Formats: sequence, C-alpha cells, structure tokens
Amino acid sequence: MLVAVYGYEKLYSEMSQGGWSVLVAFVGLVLANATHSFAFFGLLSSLGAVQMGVLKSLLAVSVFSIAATMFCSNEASQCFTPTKAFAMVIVLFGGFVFKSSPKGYSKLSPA
Amino acid sequence: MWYVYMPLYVVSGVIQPILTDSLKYQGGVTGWPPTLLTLLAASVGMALVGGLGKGSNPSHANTLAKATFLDITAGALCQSGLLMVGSGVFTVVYSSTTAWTAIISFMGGHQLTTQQWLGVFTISFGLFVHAADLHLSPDNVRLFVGLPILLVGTFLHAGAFVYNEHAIRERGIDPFTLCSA
Repeated sequence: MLVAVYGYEKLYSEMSQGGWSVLVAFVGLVLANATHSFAFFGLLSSLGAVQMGVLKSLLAVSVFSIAATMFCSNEASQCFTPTKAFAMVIVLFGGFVFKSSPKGYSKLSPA
Repeated sequence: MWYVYMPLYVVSGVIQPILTDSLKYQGGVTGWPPTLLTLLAASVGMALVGGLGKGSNPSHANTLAKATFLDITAGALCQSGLLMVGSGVFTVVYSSTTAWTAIISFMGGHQLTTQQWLGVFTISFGLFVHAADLHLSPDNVRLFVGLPILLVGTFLHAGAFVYNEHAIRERGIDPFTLCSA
C-alpha cells in the first residue's frame, strides 16, 4: 500500500501535465467493475461456479478480438495471429461441448 | 433474472479489459512504483454493489470472513505474480482457472458429466494455445519467485469461485452482500 502511495505521487505529477484521461478511464473502470461484479454474483447463484468459469473463458477470447483491433499498434502481443484464431475456435468448441451436455451440473447425493 | 444479468455481464466484461488496457497504455498501471489502480478499481467497484444487498445476518459473519479472505488473498497474489512474471506468463497460468474451478468443485461434491469435463479441458487447452502465442521474454529470477505466487493465487481464485457458490446456495447469503464483503 505504501508503494502504491509513491506510485500515485508519480501518477499525479504525470496527470498534472495534461494526462487527465487516466482519471476518466479509472472512473469508467470502477463503474464497469461494479456492473460486472453485480452481474457475476447474480449469475453465480443461478449458474454455479463451473459454468461461470466456462463463461469467463468464452468472454476472454471474445474480448481478445476487440482488443486486437484497438491496441495492436501499441503492443505486438495484442495483435491477431492465425494461432490465436485457432485457439479461439478451440475455446468456442469447448464451450459448445460443455453446454450441449445432456445432464446438467449437480450436487452428488450423500452415500 | 439471468436474462438481466447476462447482457450486463457480457457488456461490462468487454468494456473492463479495454479500459484496463487504456489505463496501461497511458502509463497509469505499469512501471515502478506500481499504482495498483486496477486492484483499487476492482475493490471500489465490488464495494459499490453492497448498496443493492439485503444486509448480512450475524450468523453469516464466519462465511463472509472466509470468502473475503480467499478473495483478497487470491487478488493480492495474482497481482503480485503479474508484476513479477509479466502479462504473458500471467495469461498462461491464469487460463487454468476454469480447470481448477471444475476440479475444486468436484472435490467439494459436485458432479460433472464426462462431456462437461471434456468441454472444460478443451477450453483450458484453447486458452493455453492462445497464451503460448504471446512471445514471452520473462526475467528468470522474477519468474522463479513470481510463478509459485501466481500458481497459488490462481488456485485460490478458483477456490473463491466455488466457495462463493457454496455461500450463496447452501448458506443462503445474499449474493450482493457477499460481493461487497
């Protein structure tokens, strides 16, 4: 936490030089996190932990294709490649296999 | 109510990493000393949801304390691991969360069909292939220390998923109260 305070001092000096868009992005991130947490805990009660884990993975690969178009020029690792496209197909296929299982997620009955 | 939560979950889940990347490319996250801005945004965001909860019963204090401890410990270890090993290795290790969640849930008494297990491991393999394409160049000493920290953090994160489900479904704790705890 103490380290973070020094980090904020550095950040404040950068923001003072015209970088207030950091603050806008931070406030947006707080609101996005609040909405995501609200929806996550709402869904967790009806879907369960394993299905939420699967859903989170499907969301992660979908987000990647959007991030690739926005941030590829900033960082090479964000760019879309044939390997990442192949990985995305595998993840989506895995999601389909999980979801199409005839029997749902259930609690083991006591012996 | 899932039809209300699902679009909110998907839309906020798309916006969240894009804003995190935006903060990163503006210099608000990386570098030393770290600002831990993303961890702060996550904590404040979760606390805001508390206003929607029904409040907690004193008999739930123990469960809420355990869930909070798991969540904070997992978050701190994952963030520390991320700073040490870098985002490339972090993505590879963190992609195992789905598989760990299924394994811990199974150990807790939940049953998955063979097809569901196949789906979980196919997803984990796909995420691993995706992450392995990141052209990693980690610092060996930092990796040696950071990797075990990150592995424990990822395992605890998956454990927090399962424990939160247990708290909501079996202890009857309000999900939004649990979120803000």
